[in-house]
Amino acid sequence: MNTLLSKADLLSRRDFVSRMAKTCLGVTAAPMLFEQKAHAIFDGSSKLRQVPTARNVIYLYMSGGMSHLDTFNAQPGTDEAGPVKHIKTSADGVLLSEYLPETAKHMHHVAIVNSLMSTQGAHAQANYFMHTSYTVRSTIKHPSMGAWMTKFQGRSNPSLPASVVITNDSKHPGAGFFEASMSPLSISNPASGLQNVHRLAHLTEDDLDYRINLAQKLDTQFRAQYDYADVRAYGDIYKDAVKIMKSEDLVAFDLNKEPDEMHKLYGSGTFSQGCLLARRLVEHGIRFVEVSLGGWDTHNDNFVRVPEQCATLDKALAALLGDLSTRGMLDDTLVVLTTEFGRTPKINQNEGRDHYPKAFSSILAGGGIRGGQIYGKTDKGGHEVTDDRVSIPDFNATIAYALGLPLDQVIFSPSKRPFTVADKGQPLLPLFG
Amino acid sequence: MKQPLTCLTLALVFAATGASAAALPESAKIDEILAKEWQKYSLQPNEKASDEVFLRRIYVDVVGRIPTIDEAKAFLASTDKDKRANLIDQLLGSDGYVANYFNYFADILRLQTDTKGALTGYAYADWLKSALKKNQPWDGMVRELLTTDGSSWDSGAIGFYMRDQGMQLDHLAATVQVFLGTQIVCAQCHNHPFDKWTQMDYYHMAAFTYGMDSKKGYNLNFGKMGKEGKNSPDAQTLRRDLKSVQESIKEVGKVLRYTTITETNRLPKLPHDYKYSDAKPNEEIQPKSMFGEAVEQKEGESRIDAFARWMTAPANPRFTVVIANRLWKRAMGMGLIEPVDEMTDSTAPSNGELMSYLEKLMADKKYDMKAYLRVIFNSDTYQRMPSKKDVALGETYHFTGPLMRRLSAEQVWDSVATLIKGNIDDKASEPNYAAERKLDALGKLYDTLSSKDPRQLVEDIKSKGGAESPEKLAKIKELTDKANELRRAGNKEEASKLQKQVSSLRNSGRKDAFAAVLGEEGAREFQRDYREGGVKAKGGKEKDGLVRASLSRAEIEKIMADAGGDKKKARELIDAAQKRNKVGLAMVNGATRASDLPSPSPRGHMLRIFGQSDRETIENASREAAVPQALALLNGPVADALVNDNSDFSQQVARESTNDAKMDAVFLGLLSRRPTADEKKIIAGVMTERGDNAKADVVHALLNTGEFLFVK
Repeated sequence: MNTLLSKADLLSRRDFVSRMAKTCLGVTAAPMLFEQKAHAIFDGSSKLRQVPTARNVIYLYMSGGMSHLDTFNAQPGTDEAGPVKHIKTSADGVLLSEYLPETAKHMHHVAIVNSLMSTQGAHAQANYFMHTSYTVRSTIKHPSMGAWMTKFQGRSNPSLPASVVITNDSKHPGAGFFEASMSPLSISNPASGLQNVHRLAHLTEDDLDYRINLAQKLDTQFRAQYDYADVRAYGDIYKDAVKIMKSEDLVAFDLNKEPDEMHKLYGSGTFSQGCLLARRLVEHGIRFVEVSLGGWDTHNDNFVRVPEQCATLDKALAALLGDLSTRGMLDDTLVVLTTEFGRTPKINQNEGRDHYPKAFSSILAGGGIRGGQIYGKTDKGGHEVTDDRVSIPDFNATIAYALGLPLDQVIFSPSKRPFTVADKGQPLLPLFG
Repeated sequence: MKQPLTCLTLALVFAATGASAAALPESAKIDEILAKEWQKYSLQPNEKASDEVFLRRIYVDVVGRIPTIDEAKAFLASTDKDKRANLIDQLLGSDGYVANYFNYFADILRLQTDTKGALTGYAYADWLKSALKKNQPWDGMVRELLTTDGSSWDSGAIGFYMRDQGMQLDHLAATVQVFLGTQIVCAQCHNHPFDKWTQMDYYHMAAFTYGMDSKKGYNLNFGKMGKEGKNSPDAQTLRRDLKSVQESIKEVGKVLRYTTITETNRLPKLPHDYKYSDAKPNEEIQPKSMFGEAVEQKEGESRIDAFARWMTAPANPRFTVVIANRLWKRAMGMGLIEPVDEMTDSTAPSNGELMSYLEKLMADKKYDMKAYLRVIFNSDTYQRMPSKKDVALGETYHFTGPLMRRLSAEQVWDSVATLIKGNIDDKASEPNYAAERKLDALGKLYDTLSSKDPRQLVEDIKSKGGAESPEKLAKIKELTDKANELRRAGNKEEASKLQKQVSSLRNSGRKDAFAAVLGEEGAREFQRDYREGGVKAKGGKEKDGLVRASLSRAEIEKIMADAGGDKKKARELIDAAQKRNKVGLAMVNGATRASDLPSPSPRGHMLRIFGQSDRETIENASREAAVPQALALLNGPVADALVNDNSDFSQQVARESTNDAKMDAVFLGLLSRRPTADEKKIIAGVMTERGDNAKADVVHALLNTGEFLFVK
């Protein structure tokens, strides 16, 4: 079993080009070839290396732009806070919005970052920036963090994909310019599990085996006649397909195997079920799982819609943190919650908040993160970052650092352009330990 | 002595291989040039392809699908000595060509239907289809893409610029890569590290297209008030009034965003950190061509028109060779220049004489792509068996025949659709009527808005209640506060109800805004034409060929008999059979040609599983083997759909009277050939072992062979 998603030994165009890049210009030849330029371009990359503090990442993406003021950047007693009250949490001195009462009980595990700053103010662009650390270009597609992890560290359970994205967003950058085998597996409905892994309802196992054998027999002549790498690859994927169908690891995708209490704990709905599935997948050795929750674009009636969003988030997030902690999984599982940008501190005439990339919040928990802290500060009212500004690449470098990915290792795209994970971001070291 | 010897050996080659029998003299010329190369390298050309191999290949290469059983039989049975040439012409004339080449160019142009601007992507897709349908010459297509301004309802070609809205510099890199086969993207930020292009070259080139502005949407037409009017007290009052109706205007204007490209004189400026000595940061850059002749603006010609003329002129050193090489690769499986879009000054084709000939041929045919392809398809070279080995990296291929390749994702899907629905070509290039209706509605809205004096517009909206009155805002605030209280008290349901009231109160103003602009009737019309109905899949549901998910009496009786009185087992069997029918049915109804589905298809769709491009980067489609492909063919709905009684394939197989003839038909349908003697033996074994299941077994097995997925 090479990979679930793809065979790489093929002369497709992408591959051809990337191999040319490797053999002719290549990753190994590059430092000599680019001596000056490479240094000039990547001088800023962090040289920090460490033993990974996290083995897995569960990445919760709040799509649409989560209001920082109404969630994690508590600004009690300001006009900007609007009608939101604030509550104490399990961490000393850390306040949260009243919309997150369950999450409040787990804040001793959580580090809040209140000083994020993005340069992108439109959804698609900001979402892409957050996922890749690079801004959108029409000449290249950059890989997402899960793909970088697979690129550097491979997969741990060979019969399962290395990373999974549970989302309806078909524009997720996925593997970017990496080989297709680095792609996260995309699942839109956590309840329905993996596509096409169960045989057709009316076939017995014997029926299907019979047909597979028959296919092999009827294909013998063709395969003998044509000595093509891609023809051989098709022989291999059938072997792998059968292995997957019979794999015990398939239960990783089956939420029916979770007891009722667990379903109750996380809640129903795609996001809640996605969080439950994420925990299950991590347990089975899938190391990077993203779950997205849409609906945060609250231009109108922010103070009615945000609490509704938070009700969904709060239950699932608290369940996830509690469940991971109980199972002892929080030590090596980093939970990240982030979004494309925050929302305007000034409440608009529609009782809403508009896009606000200048200052916003995210959280990290587990996986070596010291909980109960707040990193970075805004001014009163959440308008401007005043302390410890965090760029999007910095934030992503922190995730990469926790995973032990080499922040300064240059990878060339098939078009021979050099890239590093998290661009030139610097990891936020004070969050660890 | 030298000269005659060469002639003699050449003659020997021809004696061995037979002189070119190609139907067209231009095709024979291709064969002749290659014969010299084979002789030089002591190579034998591949054998002439059998009718079966030619048949399947030409269908896939021209109309992007395998032939139906009837089509295969007709061709194989024909004794017409010109039958290959005739089939080539027939297929090139069919709309299947439009669908197949649409998929190809959509990958190159990164055409996304779901892009900025409500319908701009659909209009772009329709434009590309209609250009292919009328066989617009390639140079004309490129000129139209480069120079079209205006709105999507006038020409979908504006999708070319809108695709990269806000990224004009990137767009230029893609333009040069696609049309001139040259990669200059590195030079966008610094001098190119592997090629000669400087950042200055890049900005000079970008200056040609930079004026094509994609930002402007609808704005209140202050122009209607005249120059003085803009600064009059009137205008100031208007601006104040405007505030109260701005939400309504925004709502109306929203549907018109990203629908229009405006040609301006804007020029790009160097970046603030420009670090070379030939210019200063932020300096405005004038247009200048990167190679070939200078671009000269003729009297009355705009900058972009002159650029398009330069780009597509036969004198342009790369324009012609790029398209000639691309289409050669498409037919033969490999380019004479590889990669096709990364040419440099030192690029040498694997066969220079042939490349020059093809370049000249393309120009002689006046960029008529069908005429050009017709020459290649009629060559002996194209009509040979595929080479038995693939080409190792770095090795030169001498085109002793075409290379074998996997069907593209779209060709796999369209072949499945053909098995289910039969010949699907005649429906391939109908315009997307739903999208057209919506585009018309947008155009009308735009015209109405543009023709109105803004004073009148504001008055109209106010009078229709589209303005945000203080009373309304107060009411909204009151309801919101109440909802909050309820929620805090734990009454989430009631809070939600109030929230809905708030939303509808807000939306009421929006509807009024349309009525104010278009009139009651106009707003209703707009609602009907623009809002209702989807654009994604076109055409109505097929009335004929529908199957019911329920089972026939005969089927139920058979199941009861099989269950032998075990009622529980019978029920299970019936449930399973019904489920199977349902899945098969969904597939039968859903088998719409790839070119008529959204571009790209959503993740998880069979098209994406088989490597359809996400249309994010140029030619991003993949033909790599991947496990989900095997899983889709083993366990997905296709297998059931094929054996469903209502599939065209099943119906054609059922028409045969003997078991042998049925099996022949199964092979013809899936592999475009009859079974060999060995295979017949295997099938006979299956029939003995599996009885009634034999046919479904063989169909499902053939669907999962390499031979099904590859075109020889």
